[in-house]
Amino acid sequence: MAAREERIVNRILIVEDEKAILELIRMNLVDAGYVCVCVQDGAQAADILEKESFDLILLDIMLPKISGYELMEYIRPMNIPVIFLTAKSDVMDRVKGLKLGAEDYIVKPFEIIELLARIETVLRRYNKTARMLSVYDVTVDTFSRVVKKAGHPVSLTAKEYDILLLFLRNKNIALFRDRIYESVWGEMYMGESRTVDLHVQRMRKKLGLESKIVPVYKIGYRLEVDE
Amino acid sequence: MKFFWKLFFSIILVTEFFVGVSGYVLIYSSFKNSMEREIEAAWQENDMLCFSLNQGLAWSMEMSNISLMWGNPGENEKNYKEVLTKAMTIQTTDGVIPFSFSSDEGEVICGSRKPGFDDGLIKTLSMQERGYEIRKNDNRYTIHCARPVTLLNEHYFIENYRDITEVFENQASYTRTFSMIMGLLFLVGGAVIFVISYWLVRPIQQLSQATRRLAAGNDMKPVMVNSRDEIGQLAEDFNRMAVRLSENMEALKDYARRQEMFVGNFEHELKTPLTSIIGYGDMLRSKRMTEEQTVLLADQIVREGKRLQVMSEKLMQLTVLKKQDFKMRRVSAKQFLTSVYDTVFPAMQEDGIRFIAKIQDGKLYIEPDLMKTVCINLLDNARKAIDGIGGQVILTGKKVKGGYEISVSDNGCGIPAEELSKISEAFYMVDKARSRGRGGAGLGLAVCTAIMEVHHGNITFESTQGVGTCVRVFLTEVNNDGAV
Repeated sequence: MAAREERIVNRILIVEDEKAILELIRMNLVDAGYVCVCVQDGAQAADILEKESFDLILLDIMLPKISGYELMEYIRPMNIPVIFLTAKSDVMDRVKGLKLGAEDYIVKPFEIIELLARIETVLRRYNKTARMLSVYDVTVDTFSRVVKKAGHPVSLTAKEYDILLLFLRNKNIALFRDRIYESVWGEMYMGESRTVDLHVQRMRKKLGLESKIVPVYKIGYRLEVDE
Repeated sequence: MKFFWKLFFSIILVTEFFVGVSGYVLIYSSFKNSMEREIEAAWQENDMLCFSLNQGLAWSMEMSNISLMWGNPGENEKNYKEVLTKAMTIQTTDGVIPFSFSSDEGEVICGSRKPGFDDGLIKTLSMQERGYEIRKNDNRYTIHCARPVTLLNEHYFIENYRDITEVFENQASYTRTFSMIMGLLFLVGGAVIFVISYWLVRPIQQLSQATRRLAAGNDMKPVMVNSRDEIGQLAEDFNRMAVRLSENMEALKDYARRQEMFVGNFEHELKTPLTSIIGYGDMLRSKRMTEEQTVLLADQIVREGKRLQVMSEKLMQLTVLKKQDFKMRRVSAKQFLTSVYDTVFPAMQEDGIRFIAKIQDGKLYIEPDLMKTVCINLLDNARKAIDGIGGQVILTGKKVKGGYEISVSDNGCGIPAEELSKISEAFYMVDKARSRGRGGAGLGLAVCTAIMEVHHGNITFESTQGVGTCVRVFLTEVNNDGAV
């Protein structure tokens, strides 16, 4: 079973009235392997929710016609996880959104990689992510945390494993050193350390991915996958 | 100490003090009068004794030759003592007047001294003066008078005693009664004063409670004080002040609410383009793209950046408008509106809109650059409201009663009636997607309204959905000196 990749495609509904942002999110989510449906107002969102099912909804709060909060009331019984997108950074708004049953809350402006990470987290919480991740001949069982290369188990340290997952979930995206450090070590990156490079280099050597995880000039690394 | 207690105690103290002093004076003067009367009476008795003695002696001397025996006491001693005693015994309704008759040495010749009295008084007196003393003995007060007499060239003193205990008893009894009255006054008066103080202080307490309520920011109930005195006046003033204050508070709250809305909207309007700029920029730097994709993303960034630029310019205008004094000038309406027409004409032509101007000449007292901004904003809105072909925008300028009116009307999509009141709020957009698509920031009409305020003019909107919109700008006529 380990070798065979089960292909789970998550469907995400994006509700955002700003065309440019909608397009931005769509492009990135499609690149990350999600299937996206985009609508620009609450009424359309309600219509499409009646007909189709989704794994996750990205919901803007300030929408014409029906606001995000109102739509949330409509979505709640459907048990679909919702991440609010909003320009309001007010704590009260945040609390209101979470109280209404949203899974998470992203304040604009956000970085795409952060959005992807949050989507990933919420989907994992709902057990909607693929158990098996793979790239080339490397497969990862995210449940048992077993990494295999060409069918043979490879032993990775905890940090190396976390870094590998980060690359697998952000294919073709340049991961900056600070981003890697913050997401794996959970601390602020101070900039002078070579820790990230050391771990990345050891991990890709163990898995024979030296030519696939390539350094991006001055900033970090990118896992390159041909699509 | 609370005002209530101050009032209470001061009234009680003053009352008790004056009643006490006058009572004391009254009792003392009555005592003094009685005392004088008693002393007078004692002297009268003494006079009577003296008179009686003289008479008795004169009579006895006629009867026998006492005088011969006077010098040598001896066998007749008993006899003359009897004579003297008999002469001085005076029967009154109260009994025999107590007396004693003594030599100038103080030795009692006849009669008897009352117990407790001695020759002390006589010793202090010379032969030319009379005197009295008051002594207390066995709880009884007695006045003791002594006057000198000369009989057969010998000096003697006639002394008498009068019981004046009653005077002292009366005084004591008055004092007791008075003390009781004072006590009663303290209790009853205290209760009355308490009630009066409470009655006086209550409105003040009510006012103070109301003030505290007001200070705590609770809803203000008017204070009910039913008196026409100074406190009633104060309460009335207070109520007026409270009403004023709550009005101001409402206005402030309203202002704060609007400010909050403005900030919220501003945040949204600022962050939306920022999200796109950062997002597309992030994509450009972290993904490998085709040339075409790169151009598309860069274009998005530029477009969103321009939106931010437009917004910051408009905001700048709004801020400046609220702070600055503008120099107004007198301009010709025809000249002014023609220049506006010429500025906007190319854009109208580009959109295929028929742009008509109907201008009546007149005098305008305006800041031309600002007014031009208003006209261009309105014409721009009209242009954006028009879809497709057959669009028409009319710019009209005409003299009206009391001023000059500029109006812009279009046959575009119109504004829903329920939105009309909100359109001049900052960041308000009737159709967001459409407005943003055309580079709007939602600030145009807010800027226009602010400019009209600078001109002391007004701006009105009239619209029917699907038929068109007409915006009228009214400028007040000005006198020659330039005052509005």
